[in-house]
This record gives sequence, C-alpha cells and structure tokens, in this order.
Amino acid sequence: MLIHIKFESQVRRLAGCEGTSVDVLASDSLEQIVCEVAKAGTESLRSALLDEQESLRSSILIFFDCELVSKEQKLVLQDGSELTLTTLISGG
Amino acid sequence: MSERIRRDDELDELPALDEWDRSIYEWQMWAEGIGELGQRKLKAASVLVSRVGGVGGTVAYQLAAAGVGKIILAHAGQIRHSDLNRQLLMTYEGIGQSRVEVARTRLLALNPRLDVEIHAENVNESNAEKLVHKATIVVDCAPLFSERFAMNRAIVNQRKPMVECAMYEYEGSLTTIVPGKTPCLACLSPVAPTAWRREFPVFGAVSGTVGCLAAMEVIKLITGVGESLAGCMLTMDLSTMAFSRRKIVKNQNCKVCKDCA
Repeated sequence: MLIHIKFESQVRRLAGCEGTSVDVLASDSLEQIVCEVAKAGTESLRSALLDEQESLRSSILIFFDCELVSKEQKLVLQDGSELTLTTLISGG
Repeated sequence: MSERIRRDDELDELPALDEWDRSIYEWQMWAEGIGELGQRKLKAASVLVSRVGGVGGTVAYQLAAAGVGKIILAHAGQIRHSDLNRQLLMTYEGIGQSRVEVARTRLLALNPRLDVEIHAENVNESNAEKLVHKATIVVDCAPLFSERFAMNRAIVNQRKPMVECAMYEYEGSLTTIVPGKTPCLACLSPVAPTAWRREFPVFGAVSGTVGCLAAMEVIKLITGVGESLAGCMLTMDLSTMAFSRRKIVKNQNCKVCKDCA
C-alpha cells in the first residue's frame, strides 16, 4: 500500500521537498518505514533521520492522525495514510 | 484541560484593583471568565520569559499590556542590527545597548506599574533553577536547545507550568507543559535535533504570531479561562495558514520527568 509522508520544519528543508510517498507492507514497523524514506531521500535527510547505526534518531517526531506516535507503536495504516516527520523547533 | 494556578482559598491574598487598574483593563475585564477576579489574578502573577527576542519580546509586551504584575526577563547581550526584523521591544537607537535594559524601558513605557526584573544572562544549567524559582509561570522562547532543556529540568523539579513556544521560518509550535500531567520537553525529544543551527530563517510576523499565542496561553493559565494546550501541540505553517492541534504523550522512560507525579 502507498502511504504519504509529509515533512515539516527543518526536515522539509533537508529533504528539499514537501513530502514523498512510500510503498509499504502492513507488517512494516514505523522505524522500517522511516528508514525507507531516509534511504530514498537526500544525504542530509538521511543523516537527520537516522544515526550512524541506521536507527531512527530520538529527536524525530512522528505524527499520525494528529497524534504523536513512538517508533515502537504498531499503527493500523491504510492505503493513503499520512505520516508527518518533523523535529522540535527552537527559534525565537 | 484547564489549569488553575491558584486555588479558591488563596483568592483573599490577591491584590486589589484600584481605579487606575480599572481604567486600563476595563475592556478585557468584560471578557467572559475574567472580571475583577481574573484581573486580580493577573496582577498577582509573576512570569519568567526566557529571551526577549521575536517571540519572547512579544510575549512580554502582551503580558505587560494585560496587566501581569511582574515579568522577569532573561537575555544576554546587546542589540544588533539583525535583531530588528523581529525583536519589537528593541529600538534602532538602542543598537549596542543591553537588550534587557531596552526591553524594560519599552515595557514600562506601556505599563509604568509593571514590576520588571531583568537578568542580562541567558538561561543555562547553573541559573535555571534560580530564575524559575522567581516566577509562577515560565515562558520558554530561547533559540538554543541547551537553554530549553535546562529550563525544562528546572520547571519539572519545581513543578511549575511552562509555555513552550518556538518558530522556524514560516512555522510555529506551542504547547503547555504541566509537570506530572503532560509530556515535558525531554519526553518529546531527549536530545536536540541534529540539524538545528543557531541562525534560522525568521520573519517578525511569524515570531509575533507565536508570541501572541503564547501570551494568551499564559493568560489562560493564570486566570483559569478556556482550555490550555496541556497535552497538545499547536503547530502552524503561516505560509499556508494551516493550523493543527496535535495530541502529545508522555514518554514513560523520560529521564527528566518519569518520577514526577
């Protein structure tokens, strides 16, 4: 199934685009999905999303249906579902 | 969720309003849920604003206008040219002068009865506890995550609410942290995002929007009016005027607040 990924704040800037779509399996974990997104994106996006061990960084926030979700959470995604990837921001 | 910072049995201790107060705050006292009691609560409140830049300066200005009794400002350094596109408490004539000194002068020009305490230092691990101790509510408007995390630890330790607000380019975000009840900043992100840079793209109108929303959040926390952003994060993209209210949850393994009941 195809799900949509929306980038916000610095993640959008690093990705160089508003978002992307990724083909996933219902059994894929959230971390697997984000890893796929990272590997298909720019190098700067990849290093922002993943650490040296290719694990999802703890500073990445993932929202699904207007709720913050953790990478361990098992979500019921459907074709057309949207995940938002962002980080805290800090400017004033 | 509505968070009252004072219980009813404390109301007798609130400062009274005089004719001067009523002449200035009359129109906002007409707002539902405010009245004389709400205005007295504002007069009794003390708010720490970390940094008086584009966001924090707007927060402080709006709180001064609303009649908050005491504002504590923490911000190091002198005014630079590059501050003036957003830091509305600063002045061109003040370039080279202390930011907090100029901010105090501007706030007192609007509200001469305001008690303004200034600290020409940014929040850090060694002063955060002391600064937070001075206030009933904290507003975090710092540009550095190290400052934000230091403030977060202090408010969790002292069980004080903090309005956490920030902007980046056309985007803004806002939440209210109530230790023990809501996620703290470290629940959301235990470390700073790797890509964060000290200098960031910013329009004053974006900072000011976030600052006004944060000031309103403080007013609600003080008076008990309305519904705060406790447990929610308001995000906005002013390039599209898209606003979203998102639910955020505590990290049960958070090293900062997991023992905070």
